[in-house]
Amino acid sequence: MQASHAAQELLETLWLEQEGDPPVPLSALEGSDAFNELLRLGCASAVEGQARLTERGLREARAAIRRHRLAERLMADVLDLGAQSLDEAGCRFEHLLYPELEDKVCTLLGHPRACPHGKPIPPGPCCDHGARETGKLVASLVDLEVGEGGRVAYLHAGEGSRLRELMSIGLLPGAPVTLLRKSPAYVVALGESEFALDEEMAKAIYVRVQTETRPPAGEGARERGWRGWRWGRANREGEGPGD
Amino acid sequence: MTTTAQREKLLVIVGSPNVGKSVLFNGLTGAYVTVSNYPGTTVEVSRGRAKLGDQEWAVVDTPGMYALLPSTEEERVGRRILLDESPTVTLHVVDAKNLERMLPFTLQLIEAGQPVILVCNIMDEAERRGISLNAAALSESLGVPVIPTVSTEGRGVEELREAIRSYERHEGGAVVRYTDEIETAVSRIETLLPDREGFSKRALALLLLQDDEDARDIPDADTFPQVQDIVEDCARKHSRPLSYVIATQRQQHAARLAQAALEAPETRPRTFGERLSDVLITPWSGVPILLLVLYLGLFKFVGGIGAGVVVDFLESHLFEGHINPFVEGVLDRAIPWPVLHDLIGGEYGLITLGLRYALAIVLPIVTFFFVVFSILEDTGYLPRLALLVDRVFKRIGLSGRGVIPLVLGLGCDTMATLVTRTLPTLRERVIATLLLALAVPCSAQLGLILALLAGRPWALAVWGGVIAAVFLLTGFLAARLMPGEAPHFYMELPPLRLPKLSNVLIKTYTRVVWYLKEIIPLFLVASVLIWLGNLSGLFGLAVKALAYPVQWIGLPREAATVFLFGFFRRDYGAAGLYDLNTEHALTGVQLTVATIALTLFLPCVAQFLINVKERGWKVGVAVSIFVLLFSFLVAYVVNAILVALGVVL
Repeated sequence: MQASHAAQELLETLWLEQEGDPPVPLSALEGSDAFNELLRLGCASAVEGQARLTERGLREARAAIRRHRLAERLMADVLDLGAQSLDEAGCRFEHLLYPELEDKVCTLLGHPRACPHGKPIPPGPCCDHGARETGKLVASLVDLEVGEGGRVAYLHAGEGSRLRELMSIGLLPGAPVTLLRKSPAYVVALGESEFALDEEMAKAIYVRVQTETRPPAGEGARERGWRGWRWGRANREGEGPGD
Repeated sequence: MTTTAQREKLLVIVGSPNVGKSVLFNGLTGAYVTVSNYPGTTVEVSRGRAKLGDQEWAVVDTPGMYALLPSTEEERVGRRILLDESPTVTLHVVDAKNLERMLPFTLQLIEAGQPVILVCNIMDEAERRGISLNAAALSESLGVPVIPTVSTEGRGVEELREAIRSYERHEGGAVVRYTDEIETAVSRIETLLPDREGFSKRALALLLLQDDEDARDIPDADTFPQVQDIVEDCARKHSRPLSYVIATQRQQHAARLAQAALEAPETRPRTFGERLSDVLITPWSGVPILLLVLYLGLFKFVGGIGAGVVVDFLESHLFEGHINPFVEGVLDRAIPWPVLHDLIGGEYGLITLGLRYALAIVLPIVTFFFVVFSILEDTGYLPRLALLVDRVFKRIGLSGRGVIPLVLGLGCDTMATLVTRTLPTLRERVIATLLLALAVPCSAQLGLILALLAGRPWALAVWGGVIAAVFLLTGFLAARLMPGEAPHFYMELPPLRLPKLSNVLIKTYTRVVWYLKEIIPLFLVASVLIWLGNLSGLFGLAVKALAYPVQWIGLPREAATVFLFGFFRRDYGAAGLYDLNTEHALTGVQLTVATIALTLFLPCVAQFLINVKERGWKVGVAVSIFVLLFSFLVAYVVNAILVALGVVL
């Protein structure tokens, strides 16, 4: 389907009803070119004074919203664009994402689940493929290999206690992390400290991937033999009642 | 100048857990403070005095805090001190190798107008990892003194004392610039705030933007609505919570400063500690090691040496051989009235029973356990154990974090119930309380049970299997039935370290003192209650009533007395069982069933009271009734099965 940009924007607006927004009254749309175009393409219909998406319209709108939010993610995570330019650039960029490119971008970004504003990104076919390994730029910690790491791109943890807990230990955008193990729980090196996380916590952390920031377990230390380490003394840790 | 001369000089030490604040505090004041590895075991604040040259300083060590925006009670306490006591110098102690992660808090303190000296501690560990710090450059960019130290070795401490002594406050310092929207909101809020000593308006405005509850009291009541409008307006312009936006920008600023001041190698070899850590948390090697730790620590050390050798000596030699006969002799001569005689001596007397159980049986076992626990705590093994069991514990409604109170429960369930406070949600606390009450035997019980079942490996296996099954099943059901969100797990894994003997001894000592304070009165009260119960005949009635369920589970009716004692202290009951076995020669099956019932049976008086105190009447009583019924039910079923199968143990 080749809908005009304006018609695609309208599709996205009408989609918001699926996410809990009130339906759009017909009076606001009647006579507009974009709405007429959607009617003609069989994507929208007028029901009881309100504009509603048809089945086809829902499909198209879902794809459009996915492109829009993926574009925003790309702008925010890879190109590091600020909040204001994000909206404008995102709006234009989405129209350049034809289906194959869309899946590539989605893979590149590690199949993100939400846009920078926290709205859900409808999953595409690429998200189910399990082909999560190749060519990712930003990926959730759970999709990294042991030994991979990079700087935290963003946290996808809602606004509840999980976000607060991650923030409190310094797992914030920009923090350097390396995945050290996935089992029996996730262990990440955060700077020079190590933290254990469960899968839910690890899922919330999206990383701008850099490969090999630290040799994986078992390698590297051999040539230094036993001189490379020394037991610390427990007392150093301080930790009185005050700690 | 006059103000500083009039007011006493105050040094406040802040920083996150495990950076060596307390050691520094001890080094500066010379006073002693208890050392504990766990963030959250106490919210105590240590205060002391220091002599720096010719100056007298008051020194405060705050509980661990990660940021100025508090998310725990400890952090709230720490911030209160900064807000209310206006320190002359605020020492921010950080772990040098983790500078980038800890610097945001320094920036916050500077933002707040605190008189900051940054202490980059544990430099030796950083150096060992090939990290070097340019303190002068960092000091330049932060605008505050930066002192590298190794507090445990005293390195840099003299320089630090000098820096504190000669500290002069000056304006300026590093300023984090936030987004335009936030900066505008901050300056608008600043104009609405009253003047306040010790905490800058900028920092307060930022706290208000981050929806901080305590900061809300600071604006006057009539300007507060305006402040709120500004906050809401600013929040609307951002897609993420403002606390996240602000923290992120501060973190980025900190990262730039840290990267300019630190030089770290690209890669470094893994240390022996890190590789050992891997071994501990890989299930196929970690679980055997855990079993080995339990076997050596609990079975051999606590059970064998503590409950075996030491108890034998104190109990049979000291009390049975010397003290009891002596007391009986004195009583026989001095007190002619049998009633009073029985209060002090005799079968259930204050000295012959109460003091004997407390000092000769329970105390050595508990002391030995606390030694093991303190060693585990000091090495950093416990967080790794938490990680190892997290997935299993999720099944029983807890996270890996829950393993720490449960392991402590193997020492003393009462103390462990208190420690459940460190679990993040009420749901986890209730489940942990229930499991502690039901299926976690304390060390005094364990010691006696191991002694009772000694030489009967199959009986021990049945006992262990049943208790483990009850533990898992109860947890599993509780997790299904209790409403609430599933727990999440995150925990810092501190580097593995060799424990320091003095630390272990001091921790053990403080715990034993706590235990004695709790236990001796309770044992004595229990003795008096038993005496009163016997005297009034109430006890006889209760024993008669209990005789029925006791017989249902296949035990001689005399065992009812043991169960009644069990309520006064769990270990008391186990000790009674020990006596019963010596007198009656129970069969293997009887012994197994009895130990199962007693392990699961109602918590001791102390634990019951703590349950009620910590969880409220409803939950405390409900847990106890459930445990009472359930313990007999399980024992009944086990007995029925063993008898039906004709098992001989």
